[in-house]
Amino acid sequence: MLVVTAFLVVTIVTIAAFAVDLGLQRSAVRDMQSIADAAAMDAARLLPVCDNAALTTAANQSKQRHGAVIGEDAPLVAFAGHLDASGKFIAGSKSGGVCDAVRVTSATTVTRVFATGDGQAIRSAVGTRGTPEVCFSVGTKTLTLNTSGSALGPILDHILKVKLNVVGYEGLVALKDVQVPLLALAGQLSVGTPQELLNLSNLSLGQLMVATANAMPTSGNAVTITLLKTIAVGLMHVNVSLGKILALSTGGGAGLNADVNALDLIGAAIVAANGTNSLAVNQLGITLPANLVNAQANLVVTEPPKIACGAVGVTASSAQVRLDLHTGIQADSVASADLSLGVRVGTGSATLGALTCGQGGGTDSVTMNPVTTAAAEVAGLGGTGAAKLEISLLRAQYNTLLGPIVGLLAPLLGTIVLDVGLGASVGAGGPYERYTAYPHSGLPPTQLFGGDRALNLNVTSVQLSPKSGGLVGLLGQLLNPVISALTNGIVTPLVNTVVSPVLSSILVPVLRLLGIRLGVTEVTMLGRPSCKTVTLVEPTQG
Amino acid sequence: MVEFALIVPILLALLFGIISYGYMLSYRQAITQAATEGARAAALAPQGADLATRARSAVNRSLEPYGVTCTTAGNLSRNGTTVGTCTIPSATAACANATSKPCVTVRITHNYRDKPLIPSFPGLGITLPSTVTFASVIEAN
Repeated sequence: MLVVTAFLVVTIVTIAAFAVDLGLQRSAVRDMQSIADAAAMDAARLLPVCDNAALTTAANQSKQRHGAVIGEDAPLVAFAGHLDASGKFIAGSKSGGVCDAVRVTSATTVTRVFATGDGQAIRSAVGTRGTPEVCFSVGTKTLTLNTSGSALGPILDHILKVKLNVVGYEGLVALKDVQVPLLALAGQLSVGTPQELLNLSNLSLGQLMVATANAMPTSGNAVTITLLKTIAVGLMHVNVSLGKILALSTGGGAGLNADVNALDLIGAAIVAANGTNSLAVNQLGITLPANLVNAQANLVVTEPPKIACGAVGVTASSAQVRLDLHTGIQADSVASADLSLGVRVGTGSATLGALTCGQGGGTDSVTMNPVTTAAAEVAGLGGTGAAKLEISLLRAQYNTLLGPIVGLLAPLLGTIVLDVGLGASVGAGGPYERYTAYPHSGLPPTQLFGGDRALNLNVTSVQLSPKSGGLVGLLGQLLNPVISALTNGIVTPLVNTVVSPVLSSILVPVLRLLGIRLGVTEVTMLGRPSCKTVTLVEPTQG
Repeated sequence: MVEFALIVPILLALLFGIISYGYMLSYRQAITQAATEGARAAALAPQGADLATRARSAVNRSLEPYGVTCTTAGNLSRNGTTVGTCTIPSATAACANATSKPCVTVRITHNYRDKPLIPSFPGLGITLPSTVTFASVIEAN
């Protein structure tokens, strides 16, 4: 029994010794890691200087701010350095005399309670500057938007009221001055990474609105927050995919460190929530030209605008839309004209080429590269097939054009109906590259790339329609010069002076609603770059 | 046999001591971790973000395994009982020794001797520290 007791005593005392001494040392190690982490982040704010002494001072200042730690701690040691291609920390500057990382080592000594001697706890941490990030949009209208003559308002209002059946857009305009930190938005939606944010399934437009309202700074936005939440109630069943309206750079830094304009975000989400449902143009507050007969003009947003947030390489794009127009056109030169076409307007896009943070009070700057401008092409109604114009000619007109011989046959001719094929193109401008310096406060003005271009239709083919009556079908097939004369004398002037202007007078205001101008890309910075952020990195060992 | 009977209470006390002291040290590491994570979350928050919420959720994430939470009132709470304090800033404040810079401080204090996570062996509570505490201060964005 004595042996057993002695054995037990030795065992338990040994275990107690391990528990206390090892436990203390582990706690000391944890403290040291904590101190090193904080000091590395604080010292990293001095980068890119390579001054070890200054970094060590900053690190030790950081340490002094902390309370007591376990053991007899030694002053911190900081080394400026850089991370090589494999992610390994290398002391000293990289080429160009720049240090982009700092390693802080923290050490303490704990006195052992049971064993003799001291236990050392040494930990280090590597801090770097976070990748600067910024949010920007292409062609959305925050800047031109105002309460009296809102450009984006009617379309959002229409989608909300008519398509989604909730309170209208009035008042949401106040969102134009509100910046929402993406990180806070992600927090509200309970996601931690950019990828999770973009892949959120079952996110409703209502939830996005509530999250945006909650992520806004509360001061000064009380009314807007209440309004957003009120509208949101009716939108809990409308799904929206953030990935469709938000491009985030996912590599490197946190990816969410930027601010985004609340109106752009909510506006794009509302447009996206409508999907590819068409919107009747005359309900969007646009007056159609007076010489149209039974006009059906519909707008289809095939791709919603995409806001971009992130580091260099992230791309924002404007909406991609199609205007479907089917209408009769009254013109003096013809009996009737029936136009049916779809104008596809391609995306304008801009990619963040460079983002430079001012050092020592200098100004921040961004470079956009390359920028493509919105171009358009004409297709058939619904975007498929070819654009068509069907013209019934007046007898008096073609009598004059075709001369006395045909004129003599006039009583035998029936109605002449021509099928006209239409083409059009607006060449894409650019690519452009432009550098924008941020002012000391606020945001730089919207940048315009390219120049306004008009959409001019041209005649690609003219042929007699099977609808033509009497002998005219026979005549037309025998006499190509007849068609040529009709084309030059009637069709081309009609397309140039009547049809083209009619199309432009509908297309231009419709595109403006979505912040698109043909041949022009407007790039708007939605927030200031996040320049001051720092981050801890886990360097490759070796 | 008699000697065993005599030594058993001491051995049991030691055994309990190992467990409660070891658990306390493990908890001490969690407190350090929680304070650091909280301060880090608040320090890296973008301007305009809600520092307190971010920091508190980071703290609570770290303390969750121990069933301890930091409440919005600034109390450290376990099963509804206040066991200490947690100081989380709602805004940045000037750093103690570099007043031109903004800092965030997260301090967690648990009155451990009075409110231990596991009961102490009778009379041996005195061996535990009166408070388990750690503060982390990090420069903010």
